[in-house]
Amino acid sequence: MQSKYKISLLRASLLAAAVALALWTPMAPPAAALLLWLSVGWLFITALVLDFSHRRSPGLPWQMLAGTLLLGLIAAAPERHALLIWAWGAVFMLPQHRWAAIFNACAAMLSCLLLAPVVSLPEWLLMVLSLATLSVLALSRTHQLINMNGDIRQRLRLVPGANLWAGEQLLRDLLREQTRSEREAIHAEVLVIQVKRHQLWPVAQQLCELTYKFENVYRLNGTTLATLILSRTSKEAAKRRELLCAVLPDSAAIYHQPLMEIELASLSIEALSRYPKHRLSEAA
Amino acid sequence: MRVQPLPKRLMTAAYSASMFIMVGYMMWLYAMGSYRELLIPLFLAMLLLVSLLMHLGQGFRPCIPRILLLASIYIAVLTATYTQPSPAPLWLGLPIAATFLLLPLWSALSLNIVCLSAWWWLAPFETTAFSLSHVALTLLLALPPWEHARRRALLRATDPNDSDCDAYHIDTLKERLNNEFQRAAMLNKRLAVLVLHLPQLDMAEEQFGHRAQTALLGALCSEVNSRCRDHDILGRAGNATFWLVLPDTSESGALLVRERLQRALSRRVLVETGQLEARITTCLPLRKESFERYVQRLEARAEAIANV
Repeated sequence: MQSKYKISLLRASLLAAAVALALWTPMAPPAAALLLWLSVGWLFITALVLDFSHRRSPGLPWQMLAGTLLLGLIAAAPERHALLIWAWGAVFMLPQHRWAAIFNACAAMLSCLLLAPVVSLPEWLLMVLSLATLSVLALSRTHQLINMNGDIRQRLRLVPGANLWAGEQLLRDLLREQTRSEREAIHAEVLVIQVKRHQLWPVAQQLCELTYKFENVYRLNGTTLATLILSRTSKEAAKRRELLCAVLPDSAAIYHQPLMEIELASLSIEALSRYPKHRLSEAA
Repeated sequence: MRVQPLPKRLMTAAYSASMFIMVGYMMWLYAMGSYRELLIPLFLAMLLLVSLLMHLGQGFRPCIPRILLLASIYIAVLTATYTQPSPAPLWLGLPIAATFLLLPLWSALSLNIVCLSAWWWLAPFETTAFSLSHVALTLLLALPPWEHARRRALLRATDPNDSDCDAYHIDTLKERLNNEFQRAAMLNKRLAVLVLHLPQLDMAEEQFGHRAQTALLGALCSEVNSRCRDHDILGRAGNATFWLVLPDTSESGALLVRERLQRALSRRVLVETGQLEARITTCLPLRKESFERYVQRLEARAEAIANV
């Protein structure tokens, strides 16, 4: 498949970079060798944990780790690793948060300063200016990618082939399902489930298996999932809900509400994901 | 004046910055009194000015100024390496990085491989450590474009819409139809599907090109989407075939929708292809029919109206 092919090429490329860095370690001073091996390890682990889904893309600022390693490499042996200064172009090509970008920009400036004793002053000035221009080019390329993503990201499913969707989709589906269930005279309710962070993906998978194909599962945030339950009557819905609750982990906080009672105009994903907590505090 | 999008503005900044850097380099050479080397930076500064103007102007393909910029970087670095008395090895990394930033991944990789082997042949710096650092830099710089490619492939795999028009593509369509089929069975509701065929589509592509085809598809999708309920599902089942899934709709309801659509579509007139022509037929699931059988029947129905 085309997509699998893309990811195995990326993995091969990560491993090749790790091997090249490992071959570069002999004759390095100890500090530089240590950092080289750290970078090799990081590339290697990244290659291993790579997967083809949207599970990991937001959140973790791993771009800062890349920047730190690069800064460390240059600081450990400025003369030997001077060439790596151009790798900052690669760091800025990664899509990243604003503050990760600011951190990386500072690190790039610092590594330029570290290189100042190695080259002559006019050369150094020229190098800083060229590097700045390169970084602007890299940022422009990243923004092209982000622009392309923006509108698709809202309607996408999180794992190819699974019935798991982004939270924005839930707001749209709620609106649609409200009119539809009224017209078809069926009972629809939304189920919000809060679990521990590490249980999220297994529970999401379980939910996908336990619900019908036409009842989507949504990820609201790092700890909260939601699903729609459609049944003929409210009694049948209660029975299905009990079955679902029996399978979910005990620590999960579950909240349900019929679709008809939800005020959609003022609803947001944050408000929905806070529902289970509210109910628990009311009960206590 | 229209405000340019951010990537374009950043590119403009990069082009002008590189031109000013080249002018600065030229002035520095002039101040140092090395008049003989002045000619090439002068030429390159003009080249960069041309590429900046091409980038700002309309009607040029965006790859041409990029290639000009890349070529001037290569020329500048090569001449500097050969004419300066003690060139820093650091500068050979600049063209490698610029290649990955300015060219698509595969062409950048092959260009860099060619350059690396050329350098090995006639390099002024011949130690293995040095060439190893080049290989490492090349591989590191290639990583972000790979990551971009992965994200793009991932978006394509998870985007439910067809790439040409505002309708679901075939995989999502079949999945949603399956969902509706199951839902109708579980909740005891009815289901109807309209099969639409655009006989003008192939002709539009052959005679007027891709744009006419996109216009035709866009017209169909906007007409259908504006005249349907929110939960009706429009998807592209084949090149010129669409399915419109109508949940909780009886046969007479489907026929009514068909009439309405037929009338609305025939009123739509496009510049190149003229009046929008569409053949529409209904196809309802039979009692106790399996989903696979129903899809086969839908496909056969589409075939039948395509070959009238």
